[in-house]
Amino acid sequence: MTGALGADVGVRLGSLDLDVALGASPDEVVAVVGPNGAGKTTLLRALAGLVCLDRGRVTLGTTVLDDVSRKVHLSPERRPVAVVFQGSVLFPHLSALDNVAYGLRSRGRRRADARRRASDWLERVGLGVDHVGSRPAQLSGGQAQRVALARALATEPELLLLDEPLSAIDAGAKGQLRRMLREQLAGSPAVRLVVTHDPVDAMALADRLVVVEDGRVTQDGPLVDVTTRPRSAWVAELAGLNLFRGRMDGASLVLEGGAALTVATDVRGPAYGLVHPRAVTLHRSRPEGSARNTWAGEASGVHLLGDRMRVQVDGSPSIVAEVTPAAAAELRLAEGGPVWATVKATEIDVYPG
Amino acid sequence: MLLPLLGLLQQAPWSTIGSELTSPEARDALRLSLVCSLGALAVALVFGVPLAWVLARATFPGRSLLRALVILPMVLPPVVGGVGLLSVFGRRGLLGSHIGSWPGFPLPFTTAGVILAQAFVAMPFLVVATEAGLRQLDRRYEEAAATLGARPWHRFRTVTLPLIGPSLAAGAALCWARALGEFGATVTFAGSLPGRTRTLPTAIYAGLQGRPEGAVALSIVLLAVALAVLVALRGRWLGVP
Repeated sequence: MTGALGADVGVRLGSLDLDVALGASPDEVVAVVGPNGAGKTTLLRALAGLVCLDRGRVTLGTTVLDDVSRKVHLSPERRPVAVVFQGSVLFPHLSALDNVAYGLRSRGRRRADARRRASDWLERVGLGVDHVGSRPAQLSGGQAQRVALARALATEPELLLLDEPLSAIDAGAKGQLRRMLREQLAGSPAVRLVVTHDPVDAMALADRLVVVEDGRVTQDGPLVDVTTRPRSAWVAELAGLNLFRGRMDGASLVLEGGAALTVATDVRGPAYGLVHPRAVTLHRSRPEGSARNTWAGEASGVHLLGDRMRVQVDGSPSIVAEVTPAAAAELRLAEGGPVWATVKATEIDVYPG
Repeated sequence: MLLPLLGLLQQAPWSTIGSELTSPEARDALRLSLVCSLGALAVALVFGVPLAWVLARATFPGRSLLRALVILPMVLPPVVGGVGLLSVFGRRGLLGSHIGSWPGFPLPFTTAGVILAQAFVAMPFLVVATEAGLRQLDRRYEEAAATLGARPWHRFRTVTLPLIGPSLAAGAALCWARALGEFGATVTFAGSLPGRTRTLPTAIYAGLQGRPEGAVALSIVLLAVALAVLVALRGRWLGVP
């Protein structure tokens, strides 16, 4: 029976100051997402024991992996942890089969037994029999990643860590690999943590998102909560939404830049205001109307997204609007120039900050 | 650069080279050279690989000083190395005066002394090549092995060693070739006693006084070995696959 992961990780490494508290249970797949350089990989390496903590404590079930205050640090080879590294990192001098057998051999299994199990695992991750004896250099990126996953799973870890498992895979092979990964993750009894900067991968693979930005957890929750109630500009952009942070003053959300939006809410104090780009309407001249937020800006960029045009409006505040191509043509938005943006008070979703 | 080689080939007693190389003196020198150079290579491997590891992986004050010391025999005149070894292991040397009565000692003017002298001069070649191999090695292979449960020694044996194999082999080949041709330190520390310390180079030098044909024949052997090593390593330096 696998126990839950309880991690409180403090690592200083160069300019990175990582300070993250994270729990994960064996009945969920957790995606650690965030921009590049946020400390996601360092967090994963710390959990694997490849980076020593400067502060904190890591437990897995009843096993203490790290406890800085008691000077406990289990070396990587003594942890029930397996890692799928970014870029596979298969041993180049061993065949696919022997790569997978390596962990079993290291843990004392006999060669024949280890190879038989390894071959079972390669079948499970869908590596063709033709490639079982191949060296990593002869495998495609997708095949190599399957072998890397089999190698990690074969050790039957209690904590499975995956670092950008789908990056560096060409688009054609990605969908299939993602499905295989999803199935294998679902079938593993381990605590599963996937580090990724790709929101699509995170959403496809995980039940819960932990957002790490600049060494801190900025949001942690079920997929739906994180994407519908973002708490950072990075997550909002990832979800394609406009996020404003400010403070409630009467019926106004006063933004950090000084601008104010009229909203309909009873939230008080620091708050976020979320606006879907479709709720933003654009005009070439000052529109008539009441109880709306109207401000002037400059259309600075237009691009097609599906059957809609996304328009970046620079102003106070800046906002992204989504309009139909017909409206974009009528307003000649591709030419740029001054525009008026309006958002109804009721279209702004306000929640405490 | 070619002239000395052509001269050597022109002077070679091709018709009698077989009998020159099977004469008792020549056979003794060939046998002794083989034993000593391989012995020196073994000593260099035992001490050189850990040393290369320390230089490539550990961080400690004085590491660059240690590296300079390791490389020093490459630039030091071998005869000075021989004098240095004498001053340590000689009868009145730093250590020799204490351990001189141990079995196998004193070292000077013994076959073991030849091995020591050759190892002293040749080990840097092994250390430098191995250290370079270790530095070029992506550390993540060893990290992956660690996360798969491999303990440090198992990791070194099954991942590190195979992956630095080409560098290690090149270093070993250079080291062995250098040990085989070692003259200055050997003759200074171990002398040139036929059958005990007279290796190929010292036999060639001694032979030139009396029987130059024999010396040239032995020189041809060393030239052939040098060419063989060069051919074996061509992929590494000449860019030929």
